[in-house]
Amino acid sequence: MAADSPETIERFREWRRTGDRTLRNTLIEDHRWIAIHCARRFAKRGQPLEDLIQVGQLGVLKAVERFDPEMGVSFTTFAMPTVLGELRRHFRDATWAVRVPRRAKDLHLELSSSIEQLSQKLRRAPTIDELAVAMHVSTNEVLEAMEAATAYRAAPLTPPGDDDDDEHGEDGVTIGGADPELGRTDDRLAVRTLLDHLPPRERRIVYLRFFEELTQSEIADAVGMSQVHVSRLLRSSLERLRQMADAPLLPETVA
Amino acid sequence: MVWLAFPADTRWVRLARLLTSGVAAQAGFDVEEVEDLKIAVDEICATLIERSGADEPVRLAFRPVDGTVEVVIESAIATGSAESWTEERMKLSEQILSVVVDECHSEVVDGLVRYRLVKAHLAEVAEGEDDGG
Repeated sequence: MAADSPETIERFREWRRTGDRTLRNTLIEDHRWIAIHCARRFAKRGQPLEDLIQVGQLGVLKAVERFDPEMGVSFTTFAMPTVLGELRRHFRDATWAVRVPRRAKDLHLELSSSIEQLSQKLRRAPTIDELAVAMHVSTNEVLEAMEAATAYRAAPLTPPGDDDDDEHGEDGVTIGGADPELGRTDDRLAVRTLLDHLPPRERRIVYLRFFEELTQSEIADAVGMSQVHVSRLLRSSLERLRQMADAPLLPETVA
Repeated sequence: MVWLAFPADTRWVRLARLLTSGVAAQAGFDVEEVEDLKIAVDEICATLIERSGADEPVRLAFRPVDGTVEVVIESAIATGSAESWTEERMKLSEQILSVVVDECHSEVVDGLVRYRLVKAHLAEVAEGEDDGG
């Protein structure tokens, strides 16, 4: 692998010294070609290349955050296994989506509108039994459909921190960028760093659910998408946050 | 009581989520309460799997009673997995669990980590309040 240029090495040193996120994002962008290169190796597995590149970008991000230019290896050599690992993990996780029963996948399309219709009619979230009656299926099929709706990795895998590119949701709804409210208390300040790994839309949804304690339906109304979609984004966001965490340990008491 | 034990591998967590939703549905939970309980089980299973030894199963026990579901999730933790979470990760996990379930406690005894969750179906409470208003 080619050695890093003196400019690149200096950038890494500066990033490690300052923790400047703009500099980090520049380094990620400079090495986007690694994500593209690795993604192409997985291109014939039925997923859009652009999605795979974004998965690869997450690997590049992790590599940038861990790389020490004093180690004596080039960044490319260092990053390649991380990026390939991220892509392999993506396919391993996605395998489960493939195994979701076909019937459940079909029903999940109907599930979203049924929840909305029943929520309006009942003026509360419907129970599983009520959904089963409305959809003319068994409760087990409703549960499978709910799981199918959230089983696959649906997170738009925008490189975390790349805020400027993701101010709009995939439905074209502007939902705001950073949440200044997150800094109101020490605890919120502590998690701010972690939530910064999420794109703005996911960050906002996580914030509204777990800090403002809005229900999924209320969030759905606030951001202009379905409750099922909110549920899916919450799941994928939490999964991403777990992936970003380095050394997990459960708390002694959590409530 | 309903039990499930599975290998400490994330590929099995979907099964835990499905069982969770089944038990919650039996208890009369609405869709959002079902999703909340699944998020809690997901969070804890992921945490335990990260810390569990390769051969240690994750065990779940569900007790649905009168519109309430109690879940106990436990696994043996691997030697050397005692590093701390980063502060922000720990606080985020606490925050998530405190929002999605009514009670959540954990303890570590002899290398065994055990979580106990309780979540209640709140529709009856809300309807009672509406009647009173």
